Amino acid sequence: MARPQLKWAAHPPIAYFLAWAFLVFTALLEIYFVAAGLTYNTLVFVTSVGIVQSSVIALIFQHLREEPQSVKAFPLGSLVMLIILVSAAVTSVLACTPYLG
Amino acid sequence: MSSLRSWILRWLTTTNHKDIGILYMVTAMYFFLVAGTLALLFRVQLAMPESNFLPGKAFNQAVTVHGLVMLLWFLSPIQFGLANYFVPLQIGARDLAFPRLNALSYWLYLFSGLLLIVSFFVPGGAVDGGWTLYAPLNTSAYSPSKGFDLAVLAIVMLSAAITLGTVNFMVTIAKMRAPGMTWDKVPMFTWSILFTILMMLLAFPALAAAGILLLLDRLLGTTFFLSVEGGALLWDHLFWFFGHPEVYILLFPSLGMLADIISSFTGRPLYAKRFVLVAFMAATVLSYIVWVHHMFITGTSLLVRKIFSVTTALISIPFEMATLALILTLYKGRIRYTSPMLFAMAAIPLFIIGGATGVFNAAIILDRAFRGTYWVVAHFHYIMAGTALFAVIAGLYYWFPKMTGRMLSEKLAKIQLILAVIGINLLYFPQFLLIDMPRRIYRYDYAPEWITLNQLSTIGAFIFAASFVVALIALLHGLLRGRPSGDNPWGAWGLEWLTKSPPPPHNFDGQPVVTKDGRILIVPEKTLEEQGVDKVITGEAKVSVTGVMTPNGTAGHQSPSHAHGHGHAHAHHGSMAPMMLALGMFVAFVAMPLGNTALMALGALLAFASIAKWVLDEYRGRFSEPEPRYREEFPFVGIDKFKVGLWTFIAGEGFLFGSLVGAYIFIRTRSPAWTPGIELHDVAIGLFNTVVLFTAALAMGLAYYNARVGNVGLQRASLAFALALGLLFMFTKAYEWSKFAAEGYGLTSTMEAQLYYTLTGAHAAHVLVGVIASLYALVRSLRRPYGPQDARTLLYIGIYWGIVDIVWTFIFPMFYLI
Ligand code: HEM
Ligand SMILES: [Cu+2]
Repeated sequence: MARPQLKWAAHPPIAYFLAWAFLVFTALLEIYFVAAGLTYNTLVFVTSVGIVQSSVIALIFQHLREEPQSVKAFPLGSLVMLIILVSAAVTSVLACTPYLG
Repeated sequence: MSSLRSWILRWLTTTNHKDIGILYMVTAMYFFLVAGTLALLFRVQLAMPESNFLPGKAFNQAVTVHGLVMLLWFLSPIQFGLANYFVPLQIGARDLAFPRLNALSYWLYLFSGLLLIVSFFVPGGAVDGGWTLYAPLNTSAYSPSKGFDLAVLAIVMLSAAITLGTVNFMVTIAKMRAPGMTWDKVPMFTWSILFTILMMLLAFPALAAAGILLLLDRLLGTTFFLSVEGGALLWDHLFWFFGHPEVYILLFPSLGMLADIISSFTGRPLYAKRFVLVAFMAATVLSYIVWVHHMFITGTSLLVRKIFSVTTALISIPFEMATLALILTLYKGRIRYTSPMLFAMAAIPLFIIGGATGVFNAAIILDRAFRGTYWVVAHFHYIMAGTALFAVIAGLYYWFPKMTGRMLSEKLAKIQLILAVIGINLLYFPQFLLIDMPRRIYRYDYAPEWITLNQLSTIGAFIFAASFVVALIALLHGLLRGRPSGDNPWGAWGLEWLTKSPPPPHNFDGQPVVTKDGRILIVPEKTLEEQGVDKVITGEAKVSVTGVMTPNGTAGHQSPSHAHGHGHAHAHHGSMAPMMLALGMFVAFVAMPLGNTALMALGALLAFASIAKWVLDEYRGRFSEPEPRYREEFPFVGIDKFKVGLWTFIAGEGFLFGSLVGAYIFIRTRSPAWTPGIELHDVAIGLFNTVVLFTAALAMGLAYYNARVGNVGLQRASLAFALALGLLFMFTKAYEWSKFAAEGYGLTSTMEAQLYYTLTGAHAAHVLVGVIASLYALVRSLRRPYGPQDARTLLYIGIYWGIVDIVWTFIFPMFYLI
């Protein structure tokens, strides 16, 4: 049973603390940037922050960085489908003639 | 215990995939009877232009419930009944990956259907808005009936059942195939179920999201589908994003059955199987980007309509390929005209008619004229009542001997076939000619030219119905009087034909193996141990087998002396919890629209008690079963089945939230003015809760780490910390909600507030589940600390917390910043 021991070494709790600090820090930064009006396009900005934060959560707290490609494919595949869906929806919404005028 | 009691108890508690498959099929047939009867009723109404047989609201109820039940409670479920029974057999597994979850799916399905049936008897009567439940007619402002509420609850409950089912089939097909059954050797029916669940995984969360928003509108007074910003178009997008994949969800399993049956009775493998698989894959992906063809006459821009017209025309190509492959298989093979084969062959021309008319619909210009007419009704009935249903009958007749050990009467089946072919064409062909008659009207006294065609159609309906009476007789006759079938009466190809009819509880007396050169073997497990499974697959080892099939299509031979048991004298695991949980939900859901709080509490109590029982069984390890020792599991080699299941489930959750966020974007972009969250909510509180959630993920990470290094004290402390943080989040949320409401922003106030409560509420519900999971882990750890061998439980709870956090990283800026 030597393998599990190697795995702990590969994942000391320090990674968790670093990830946590990064998440809190980016959340603070996000608020600061939006509140101070420093963003160029707020929607794009917060979405990007969300994606970066999610990736850190997925890689560290959900341990995806240790997983083989086949497991990584689940969230990645879903993300791709979600992006297709949201962009198809958004374009068809924006292109539609609203009753609002 | 009396034998009747134990018989009932067995069916209520079974977790065996074959039992559950039978339950699905019998239940689906019951719903078929209900929906079919409704159809006959409204066909009688339409036989005369001014009939009073079933006028007005009753007509609308009949049409609506007919559509919903046929699609959601009959066709898909009967296909999944067959899938439940035969996917494990086809891939050489002993059961589905999660048997109790499978039972839960079934019971949720049954009780959700009963909700819809009950709806006929509540004030206002059953749902009557058409099966598409278009907005704003679906809101209580226009459809106040309580039965409508029940229908929406039923749909949400069914979506839950289906999502659990997708997880189960995903893990089973991906990870439990017999050794040597690489993907290219997986039978077409199993393949088609795999594609189907991939579509279900994305489509049903969208339906659930639409249903949840509609329930909030109907029960709590929000205005998502009543407002100008959301309204009809929001429903259209959500519904058809589900709806179009749904039509392929109904079609794929049938195509899979057709392929297996046709190749069995022509004695040839499916022509160009790999090519067909690629076509299926293409159709699966394309099925998500055609939904606007149901919205060609809404206000969508011409450019968008053109794009979707092209994608719709494109998606017909894979189906043309598949049809061609089926026809070529027929052409090249030597056909044996058995009853399953005849039904399968009849399905093909029906598919050509239905598919070709679909392509007409894809043209925007034609669709402007066809939209809402009987032409469309004829189009989709040729495919669903034609192709899909004929294939299901073929499948039932093909596998009937396997399920019962008896043969059906070929004569009765042929009578049925003749009636069915005449009936369906007489029923639906005239509807193509009713190209100017609107759907969903119950009188047409202004258009006498429609009378004859309608009358032909009604006569056809009765002939079609008569064919099912014959089918029922054939099934009963076969069950009671059919002559013994033996193990492989058709000389068919596939693992399911290498075991007894009906198969024993553990499916195979020995371990199924598929060799490199395509032979299927049943090998005693001891031999596998001695020889090594790899050598058996490559054919280097000389083994004595209890069953074998060789790929040139010749019938398998099985030695008559089944060495029984081989040590998997499966303790028959029964559990009452799945049935009780679904029953509890049923009671609570019936009571909800009626406002009967006592009954609601009772139902909820029953549901929670069943969950507690389930968790307790888990805690005691009552149901823990080792994964199969020999299996093909590429691409998930060595990955725990719970992990694969969890990630599948999370994908579904992602689409649920994706749909809700999509609704938010939709409403927001169509709102003339929008108050940014930063002006409505206290960012400090939002930030506080953000940090709380991130810290909970940290705590779960530490719990997992400490379980692996064996530090019990820190393991418990971390779990307690995670639990406390989850609770802290919930309390903060509750405080925030009450503060916001006190400021005048109730659930029914502005769109901003409505979306805020809905999305943060859906998220909080997930936090609650995380809290319960952490509580379980803490209790378990206090009794019996987790060690390196079972730390993975904590990893999975951590993964769950992760998704709660991930969703929050998007919800937080949506409501507190922008
Ligand atoms: C060759 C592939 C297909 C194409 C190109 C196609 C195209 C279309 C189009 C454009 C419509 C909209 C017509 C309208 O409402 O005016 C439609 C409606 C419909 N199709 Fe298809 N279709 C195809 C296959 C199928 C299949 C396989 C099914 C079912 C298994 C199906 C079921 C339906 C249903 C239920 C509707 C009507 C929905 C409603 O408004 O109630 N179609 N089809
Ligand atoms: Cu469609």
